[in-house]
Amino acid sequence: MALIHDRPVLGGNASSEIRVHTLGIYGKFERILRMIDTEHYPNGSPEAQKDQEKRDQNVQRYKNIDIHYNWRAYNAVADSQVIQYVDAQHTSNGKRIRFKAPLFVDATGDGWIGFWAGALYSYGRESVYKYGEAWNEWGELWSPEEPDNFVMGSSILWRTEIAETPQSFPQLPWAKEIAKDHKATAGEWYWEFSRNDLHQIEDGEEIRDHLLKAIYGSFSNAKQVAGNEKYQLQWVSYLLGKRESRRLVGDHVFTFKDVVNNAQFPDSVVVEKREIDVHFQQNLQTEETPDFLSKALFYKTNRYYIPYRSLYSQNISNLFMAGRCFSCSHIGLGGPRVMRTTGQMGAAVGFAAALCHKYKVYPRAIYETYLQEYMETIEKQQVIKP
Amino acid sequence: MSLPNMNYRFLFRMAFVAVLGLGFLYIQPSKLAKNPPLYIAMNPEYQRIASEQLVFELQGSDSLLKHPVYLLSDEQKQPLLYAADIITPVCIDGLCKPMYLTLYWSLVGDYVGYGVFQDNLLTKFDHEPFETKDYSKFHELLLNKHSILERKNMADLFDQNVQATEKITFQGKEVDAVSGATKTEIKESVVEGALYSCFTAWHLAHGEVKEKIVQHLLSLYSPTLAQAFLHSSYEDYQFFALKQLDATAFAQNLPRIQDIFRTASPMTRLYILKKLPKESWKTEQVALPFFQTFATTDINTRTLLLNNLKYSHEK
Ligand SMILES: Cc1cc2nc3c(=O)[nH]c(=O)nc-3n(C[C@H](O)[C@H](O)[C@H](O)COP(=O)(O)OP(=O)(O)OC[C@H]3O[C@@H](n4cnc5c(N)ncnc54)[C@H](O)[C@@H]3O)c2cc1C
Repeated sequence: MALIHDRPVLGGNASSEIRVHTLGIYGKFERILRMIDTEHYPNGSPEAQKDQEKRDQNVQRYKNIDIHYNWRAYNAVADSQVIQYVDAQHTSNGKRIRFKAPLFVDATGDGWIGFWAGALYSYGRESVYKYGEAWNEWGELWSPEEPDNFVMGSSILWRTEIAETPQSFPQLPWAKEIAKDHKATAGEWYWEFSRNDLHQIEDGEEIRDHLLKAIYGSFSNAKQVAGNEKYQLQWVSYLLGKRESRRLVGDHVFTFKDVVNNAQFPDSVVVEKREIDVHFQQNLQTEETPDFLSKALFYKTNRYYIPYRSLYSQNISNLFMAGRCFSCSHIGLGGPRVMRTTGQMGAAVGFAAALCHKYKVYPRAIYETYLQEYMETIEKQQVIKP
Repeated sequence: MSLPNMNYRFLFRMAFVAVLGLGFLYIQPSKLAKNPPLYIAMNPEYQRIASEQLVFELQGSDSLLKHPVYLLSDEQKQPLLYAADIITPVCIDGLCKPMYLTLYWSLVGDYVGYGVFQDNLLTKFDHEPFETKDYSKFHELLLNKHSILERKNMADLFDQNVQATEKITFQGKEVDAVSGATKTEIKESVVEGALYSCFTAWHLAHGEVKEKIVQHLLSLYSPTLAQAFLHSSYEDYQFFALKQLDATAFAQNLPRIQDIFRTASPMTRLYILKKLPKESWKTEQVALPFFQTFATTDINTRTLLLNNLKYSHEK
């Protein structure tokens, strides 16, 4: 199996480059997920380094995983709805490789492989009527009558520390246009940016730069205030942590209703109990608030289940997806986007791929023909001690 | 202890029998009436109350108790506020004591204020009475729709897992909303020593009640009320009215809608722009007032204005 990854370390948002801690439950896959998840340190903590080493070592141990660090996929070509190959390029030496395979998993977060191959996908917030996702408590902030382009935003985590002695920090006129008079000595998950004229993928660099100006500018403002002399920036991520962009469409679209109804499926392979949290930009409610701060709306839930049918493409026969680009609505993504849950998706997809290989079939056949064997395989995982 | 002035509009008397210690409470109200609010965000409305009418019951988290909810109306029988007398057990480890208060909500189901029962003022868990500052903090907490208590279960508040908590508050700083609150954050938002009362009251003031009030309001939503809402100075009332308008009514009320557009928050502005029927953009007196705000309006609204430009000229 080839793992194509455009960074030097594994983990995406959980990596030591972005430093989000993993939340959610293990479901049936504790053995696997413990090898790659994180402790519950604060987001942005240098402790992420320790879990990074654990993750890379654990994955490297597997002889049948060929890790291609620093290779970025840039194209996928399908013929008669079947992906024939994925092209990737090395991020520093520019070399190219064409990966041919019977099956592909899109775990890019942004749904790139599906997008290039012509898979159906959605972006933005659906109309509240499309899947019946109303929650009157929050109305339009939760789910709008008319669909729109608002999605949960991307973030840059950052971290400060208090030094022994006073530390200088320059005034930053170039950051003023964004930070304005906002002052801050600590970052949080809610340093987040989304706007209806910006696309989380196409405008990713503008979003990143906007957040960098927000962070440096707000810290610089705070440094002018008496009492903050000893604060210094300890770390600012140079990578954007994303929450939501393209969602590939599968045979089942996971929505708010599945959560509210605690719907159980014959092919429930992922289970979660974490509340749904959906973010919105604070300045939609209060115009004066800086445009780079968000708020979360929480919907408390019982256990909910994601069916296997949300983990393969509806129209590209040999494409699985795992991660935030799985088949769901905007609100459906709110709960299971956290990383142990997305990790469960990855594990479930892995077992399905093994069965596809065994029977020389495409993903849908696992649901249609081999479901019993598949579910038994997954069930067995549960009893294997980590 | 000194409390802010209370003017008694209603007489109330409450007889009750409380059985403590078994984790529940038996209460027999003799006569229900509203206690005047100690704090209220909608005093002009409160001052006009002339009558009350029992409209539904609120089922607290303790299923043994139902709290009667009243609609308060003016002389002309126009609705003003909702209110409920609450008597509820506040329990820790099976040990319960009663809490008495009257909660007030706006017509769209948002908490706006509370009153206390003079014979049964609020207390902390160690039976110390609330101090003046505690009463205002209590109101502040209840006003916060985004309170950290929203996503907590009572059990979370008892969390004995000290180790996990310490990790979350690592160096007292960075915490993820999705990972649960720090103890500090909870502590800062509630009245010190009255966490369980705060928790119980917050969950009564929010949640189920909102849905029920909106449902009830819709059952009496009349053209008079629709106009009153549309012309109200409260943005959530305006928004509620906008939501009920169909396309024709939207067009008929345009002057007022354009007014609202100029003063409301971006969220309401975006809603108006999305709801405005596409064909109405062709009429200059409809479109122009919206486009004229372009220079001063927020960027999300600008984007929608630009997107609508294509509808405002004939092909
Ligand atoms: C600030 C912040 C706070 C959050 N808080 C939490 C939290 O507390 N706990 C939690 O569990 N979740 C949290 N989340 C959500 C969670 O991090 C994401 O939903 C999750 O990471 C999605 O996982 P993923 O694997 O789909 O995407 P990612 O984690 O983004 O991983 C995708 C990977 O694919 C790589 N990639 C993308 N395109 C290509 C390509 N073309 N070729 C090769 N490689 C490619 C990327 O570099 C990346 O490493 C948070 C997110 C943010 C931004």
